Amino acid sequence: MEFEPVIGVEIHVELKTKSKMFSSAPCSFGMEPNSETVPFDLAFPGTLPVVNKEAVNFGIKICTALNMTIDRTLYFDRKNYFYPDLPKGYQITQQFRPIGKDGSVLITIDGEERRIGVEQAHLEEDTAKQIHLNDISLINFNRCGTPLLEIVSRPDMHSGEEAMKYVEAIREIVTYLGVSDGKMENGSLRCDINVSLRPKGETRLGTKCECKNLNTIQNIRAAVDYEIRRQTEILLAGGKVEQETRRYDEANKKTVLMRKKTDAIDYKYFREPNIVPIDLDEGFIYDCVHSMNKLPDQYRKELSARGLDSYQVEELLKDRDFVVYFEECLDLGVKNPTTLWNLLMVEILGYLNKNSLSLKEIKPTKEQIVSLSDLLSTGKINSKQGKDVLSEMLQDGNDPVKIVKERGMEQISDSSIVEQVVDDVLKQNAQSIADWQKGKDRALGYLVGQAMKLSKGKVNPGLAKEVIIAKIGPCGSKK
Amino acid sequence: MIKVTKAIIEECARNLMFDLSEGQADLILEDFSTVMAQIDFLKNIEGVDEASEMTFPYKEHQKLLREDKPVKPLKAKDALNNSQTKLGDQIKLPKVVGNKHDQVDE
Repeated sequence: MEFEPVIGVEIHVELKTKSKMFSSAPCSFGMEPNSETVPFDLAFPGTLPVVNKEAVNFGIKICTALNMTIDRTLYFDRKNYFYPDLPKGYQITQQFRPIGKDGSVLITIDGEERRIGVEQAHLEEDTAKQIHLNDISLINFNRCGTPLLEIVSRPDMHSGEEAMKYVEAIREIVTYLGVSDGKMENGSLRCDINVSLRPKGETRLGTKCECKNLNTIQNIRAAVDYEIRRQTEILLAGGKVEQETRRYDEANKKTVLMRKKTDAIDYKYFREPNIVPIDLDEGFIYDCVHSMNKLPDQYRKELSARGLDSYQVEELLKDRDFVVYFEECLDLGVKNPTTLWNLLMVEILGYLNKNSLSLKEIKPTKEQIVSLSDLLSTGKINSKQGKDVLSEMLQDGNDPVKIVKERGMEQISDSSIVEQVVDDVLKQNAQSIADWQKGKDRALGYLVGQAMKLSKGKVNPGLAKEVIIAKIGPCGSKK
Repeated sequence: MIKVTKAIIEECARNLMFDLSEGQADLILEDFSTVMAQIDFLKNIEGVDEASEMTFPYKEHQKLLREDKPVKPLKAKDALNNSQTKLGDQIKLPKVVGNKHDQVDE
């Protein structure tokens, strides 16, 4: 029997606000434990929640990017449970009226676009961080109350790769919007994945298992694929898949049982009485939507239209700083985007990695980088000279045109001068000419090298090559 | 509707991780009888199933959202003083990994 995997994903995105969702306690990553709380976070009697405007702004931005309908009125609900990670005894969430619903996100699998439905997105507060040791648990309340947006997909995915691409797309969107760090390894983007199998053609869903502890994008694919294999084996052996929560064991590359779900938990949801419904001002929503950063898909379209291939585009998109920098250089009127790409993604990126620097820390201005790119793309200097110039620019922040002038580097592209140099080279290298004419193609490189040597590296090597061939004929012409 | 018994009350107490004395369980059961009688009374009111909850007595919406400006937090020492048990700069509890709870942060 053939089975169809059905996959749904819940993503918790930590919103990068300065203060918490319902209290004014600061929230930042990696602070001293229990140093970022105010009485509300510790559930002191008499304290009340007040909704963070920036969290709502970020929520609206994400919902808009995911093509969702925004609820114009904010309602919050209580999810009641007794557990030390939230001392109030309940989590404030949006069970009944999520801020966004009915959206979608586009992913690409093997060059084909697929639209994955997003059922809803709701604002809520994060819980305290716990560390479980042998017989004790340690609680750090810094994270308690941090704003979260939970994004719930429709069960539209059918493979580990699709689930991975979906999470990747969401992570890309939230980081490009600048509303979250989206760092799975730090827990600022966490996902739970529900996997079930059903016989092909069946419309009812099978019993699902939930996978947790997926702290890298690659682990998502690995965990889902493992889970599909595990459930297939159970079903083929005539068994029943039990509803379980499992976690991914990275060391052993498999999912392992955390707990069985014997009965549904009743959280006794009800409307949060301490937050009266909040009508969102149309002007506020307009400002949220119209202050959104450009999204990755928009960059993809624009950069492709500027002549970059898909590899170049994807490499740039890996880091928003680079794509923004690249776009700003394009706006300065760079002549050849591909030359600029090579300069940025090969030479400058290599320099940054070697010196553990960020793009914002380099000495040359964007105007100077554009100027260097143009010197290269118009053939005024060759690539070797370009590297030397860039090296000086990165070292001292000097202007490339000035460096080229001072070092007398400007490439000779005047064909009459190139011809003179080539004539001199050919006169002194009769053997290489003979070798070329007998079919030894390496002789051409030697002759071009001699022209470069004679001109002290100034002659345009491409032009020199053309002139040499024009004078001595094609390779193997006297075989 | 299920009948609330002493056994149910004791089970709820265990789920909430505390023990009830004999007298306490009886007192709660007595309270429940009163509450359940009230529920039964409400159930019999015509059209009650169609009524929506009245969380907010007046239909009054607001527009206030708080600016994202953090205030000075409690000192870690003061926050920790709310707990009788601590280890270093963290609050220490008996291990609380639950079997049923979905939110367990492991």
